[in-house]
Amino acid sequence: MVVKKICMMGAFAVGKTSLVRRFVHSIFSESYQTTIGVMISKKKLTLAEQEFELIIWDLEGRDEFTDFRSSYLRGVSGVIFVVDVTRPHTLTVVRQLREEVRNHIGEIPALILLNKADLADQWRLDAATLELLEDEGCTLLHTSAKTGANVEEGFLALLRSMTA
Amino acid sequence: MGMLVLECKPGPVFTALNRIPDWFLQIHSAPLGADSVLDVAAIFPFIAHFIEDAEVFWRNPVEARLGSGIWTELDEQGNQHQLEAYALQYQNSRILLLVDLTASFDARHHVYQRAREIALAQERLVMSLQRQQRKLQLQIQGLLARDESLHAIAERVRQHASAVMVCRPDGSVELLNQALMDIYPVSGNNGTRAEHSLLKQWVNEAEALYPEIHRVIETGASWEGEFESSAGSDKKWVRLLIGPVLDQEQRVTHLVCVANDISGLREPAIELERVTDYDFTTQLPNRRHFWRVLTRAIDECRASGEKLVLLYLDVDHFKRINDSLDHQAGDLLLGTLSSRLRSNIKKTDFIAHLGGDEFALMLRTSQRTLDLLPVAERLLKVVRQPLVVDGHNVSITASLGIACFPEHGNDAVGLMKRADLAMYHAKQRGRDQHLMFSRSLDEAFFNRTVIQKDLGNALSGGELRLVYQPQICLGANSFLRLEALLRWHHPVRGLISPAVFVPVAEESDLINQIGNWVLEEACRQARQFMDRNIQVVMSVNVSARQLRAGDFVQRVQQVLADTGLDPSQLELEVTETTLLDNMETRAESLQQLQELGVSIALDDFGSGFSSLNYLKNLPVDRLKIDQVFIQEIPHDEESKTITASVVKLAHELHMTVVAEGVETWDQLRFLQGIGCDYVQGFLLFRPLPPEEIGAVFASLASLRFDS
Ligand SMILES: Nc1nc2c(ncn2[C@@H]2O[C@H](COP(=O)(O)OP(=O)(O)OP(=O)(O)O)[C@@H](O)[C@H]2O)c(=O)[nH]1
Ligand SMILES: [Mg+2]
Repeated sequence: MVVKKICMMGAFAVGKTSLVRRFVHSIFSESYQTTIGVMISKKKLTLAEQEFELIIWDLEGRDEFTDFRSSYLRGVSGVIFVVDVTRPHTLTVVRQLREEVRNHIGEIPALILLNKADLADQWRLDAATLELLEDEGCTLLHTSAKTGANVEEGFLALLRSMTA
Repeated sequence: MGMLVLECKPGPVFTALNRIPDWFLQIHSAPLGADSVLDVAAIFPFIAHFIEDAEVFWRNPVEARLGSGIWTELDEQGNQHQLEAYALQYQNSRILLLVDLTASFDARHHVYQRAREIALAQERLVMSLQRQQRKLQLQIQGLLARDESLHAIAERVRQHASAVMVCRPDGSVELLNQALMDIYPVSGNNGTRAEHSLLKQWVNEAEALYPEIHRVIETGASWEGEFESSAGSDKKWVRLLIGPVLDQEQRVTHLVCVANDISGLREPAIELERVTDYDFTTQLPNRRHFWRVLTRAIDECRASGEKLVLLYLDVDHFKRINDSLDHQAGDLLLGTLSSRLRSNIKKTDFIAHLGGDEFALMLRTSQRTLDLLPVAERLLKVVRQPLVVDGHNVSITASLGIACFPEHGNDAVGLMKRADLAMYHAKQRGRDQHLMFSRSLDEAFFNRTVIQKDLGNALSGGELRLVYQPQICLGANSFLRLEALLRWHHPVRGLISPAVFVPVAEESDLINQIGNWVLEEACRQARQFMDRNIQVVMSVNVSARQLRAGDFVQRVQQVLADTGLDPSQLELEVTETTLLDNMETRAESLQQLQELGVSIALDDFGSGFSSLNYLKNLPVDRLKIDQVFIQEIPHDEESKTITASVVKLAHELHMTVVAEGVETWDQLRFLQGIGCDYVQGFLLFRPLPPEEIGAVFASLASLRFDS
């Protein structure tokens, strides 16, 4: 079995923990319980007849109260950046985080999840910025931790790009 | 709780050096390997990761220990555990500690949770504002496009909550509404000039953050953004939307500008905290905010080896002052106090209003020893400065408790508790002073609980006694005045001072029982003296609780009847504090007591509320000047002046004056000189057991003070 470490990153309250809980335990909760420090979960997956264990580091949300602990990135094989589609600011945060990750460990497989896609009526992201990101070669995926849409696909997509 | 201590041998192999704590078993219940080997790196990927840092540390331990940072694990029940690991070296062994911080984590979690919820709410507000602005701008654009008259448009937006300005591309104003003038007070004699330059001002101000703004506007596109803007002498954060109105040839004819003051919503991080976590009375951070800052600062100081000092300030008798003023005046007082405090600390120091009359200050320093005395003195001094609120002269004092990190506590909760405890003891020692926490205070605190327990038995066990301190008349009077003072002979701990146990008793109903006992015992004793032809007036202290009890007057009446003491030979001593919680009702009770023939003395006069005015309306026969003034005599001119004027004023109001705490002949001579009526103090007599009073009475006839 191959063990891979991945990190969930993004602004606070974008749904990082919710995505992990959906993926690992198939549950969702409407109530917001902010994460402090790191929460680590494990999940076994099979891809192309190969067994993997994902060690998922759910990092606390980025805000003005927390600093970026670059040591958490050590040994990471891939990063999932999470954006809340109802909050334009969270996209800015992800762009900053991408920069920081790149500066610390260079190019690694990454994925941007546009989460809370179930709240399409409250969509507030700037289309031009998204296009820019796609142009830069980012993979964007619309997900919902609430409905489960694309959640498993997201993690699998990252795993695929990590093993490619 | 409890921690897991592991030794790390090359491999790495971890062996447990102590019993596996319960929390660990909740997370991971598998049994220990042979020889207490525990594969923590496999159990906790976080540890596997941390070991790499720990290895570096063990090879070269530059600090005492290395912390991993906090991480969260779910136990088998699904509960969250907040854990932290520490690497340290102990006698050449590599030690790894695992600690479960969950219990102490609640407060911190709460703080973060709230902070993030608030930030989320702010974000939502800004977004909804954005929608409103766009809507309004579109409406106005539509009206302009349909050639609606400017007057009609002005009418539509006149009362709108968003600021509106319609101008020509050169900035000349066509219309603006009230909300705009609320943000930008039209200055001076020539308003139009100011308005004229507003567009330019905005563009210049926004440029720093949005360099593209010129281009966007010139090309006839709409622009929106948030920036800091000068409004009169103020700086405000403004959210601005500028939308062009184009004619058929696609030329810009007008610019529709919609602005809102969002200083409250979208200031930089620090400022944002200001609005959400600030106290509006004092304009200071509130308790929640302070908690966060303190927690973070302690973490930082722990890492950097800095020292941190926490000062906890509580206004003395605030309730009483506050009650005597109206609500707004109380707020004003706090506001003034806060700005005084703030202007007396360094910019880098931190002050918060914790609520009510409590303030906390946090100072950080890299100096090993910081001389706190001048700081504390300075703060108390600014509090003491006289204040006029609502036409009243108010003088306030405060008590200050000090605790230092890391000596007195190594987390926020511990430190706050210690500073609070020190403050409490500063109050106990007479207020208007500061006190640094010391271990003995903790002991004193422990004592309190013991006292509370034993005091219950003291009364029934006959451990309480009264002693009597004579008050000597400086004029001619054949009555010996005695103040009844309480003593507690604890069977194990010996004599316990009333200064120690009365405050404890005052926290419960015990003070009532004790107070009643004192009253009865003093009256009984006075009656006995009279029976032996020793003419006395017995003075008895009455607590606030006793006076508050509805039946106090009847009780006094009953005691007098039971003992057969003439009411004129009983005097009740109340303090200002006792009265001020409900002046009218208290005055009424005192009046009734006076009507019985009992006289009333006001104790500790001068130490608290400064206004002498209310004295006129109080049924008081005697004033007892606080000993703090007497002690300063004859060196301190101010105390002399105060004492002299209190005597004068009392006489004008037909009251007599007792000076307490007289210890020197100089003091006695001064008091005699200003016509003080009675003196009491160690210079003359200590408190005496009843057996000795007879001799005092006999000897007094021959005493002369005019030597
Ligand atoms: N409607 C909707 N709500 C979601 C979704 N994902 C998360 N949420 C909600 O968003 C809030 C935040 O979710 P979390 O998963 O705690 O966010 P987080 O990114 O882990 O937050 P931090 O730990 O504070 O950084 C919660 O109230 C969730 O119920 C989603 O896909 N749709
Ligand atoms: Mg989370």
